[in-house]
Amino acid sequence: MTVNHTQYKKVCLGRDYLTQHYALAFDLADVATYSCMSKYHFCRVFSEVFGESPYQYISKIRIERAKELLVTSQRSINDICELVGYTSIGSFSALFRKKTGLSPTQYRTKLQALASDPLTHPIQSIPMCYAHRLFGAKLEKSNIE
Amino acid sequence: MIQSIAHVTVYVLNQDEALDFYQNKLGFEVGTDMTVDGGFRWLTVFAKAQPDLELVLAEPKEGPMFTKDAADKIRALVADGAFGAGVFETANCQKTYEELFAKGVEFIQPPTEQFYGVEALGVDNSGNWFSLTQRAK
Repeated sequence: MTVNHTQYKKVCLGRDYLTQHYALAFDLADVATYSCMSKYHFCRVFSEVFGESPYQYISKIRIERAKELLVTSQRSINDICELVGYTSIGSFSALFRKKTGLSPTQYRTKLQALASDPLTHPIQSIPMCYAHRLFGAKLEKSNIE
Repeated sequence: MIQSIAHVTVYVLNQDEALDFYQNKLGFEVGTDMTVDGGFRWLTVFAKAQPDLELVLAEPKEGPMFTKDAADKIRALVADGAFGAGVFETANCQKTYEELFAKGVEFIQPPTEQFYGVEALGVDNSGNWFSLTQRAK
């Protein structure tokens, strides 16, 4: 499938919409309308451009946000589940485990135990020069999400 | 002097899928799973009996290490089985082979008697091959 520039710009609009509204109930029709495309066309172009479906993209954003909140806040798992856009704690926990290999509680316990300061990411557990070379990660602490 | 090896990188095609393989097929544990700098995901796993040696499951991407072209080439090489992920030791190669095979792990060589022990060769779900070795006593 060839994606032209107009389609690319439209689908980027949709992705930005998903990024900003990840915590709202996911409605493919809404985001497709926002991108001035049909649902079917939006999905096809999105997958072609970004290598994942809109649903996979928003799930990724939600889980990443949940990971951050689990480490940097004391909010309950239920609160975090709702804050990132899930209404079912069961679905959220199952997806979280699938994506990270750990339950939300296990993830919080593990990462918080590694951190040198409370409610911070355990940046000291990453050899950052190596990571920088490998991934292009920056060395400053402020770059930790 | 260098005292130990802490991290070794294994290039994978998809971190989510690699995590599923290394955790749910091979039985590794998650070391660290943390997203840094808006997209870089530091994801490590380790064998339960050896928590101080972590495999960094990394997707080759454009960055300081690789140009886009180089990253694409690395991905293609991984998929083609050009890289080895390492030697994973077991006390019973045949038994572990059967367990992993039952879980759907692909093997390119079944357990084979060698002068140093018993060795099988498996493949992860990216294309990296690995040795499953039982040392002779």
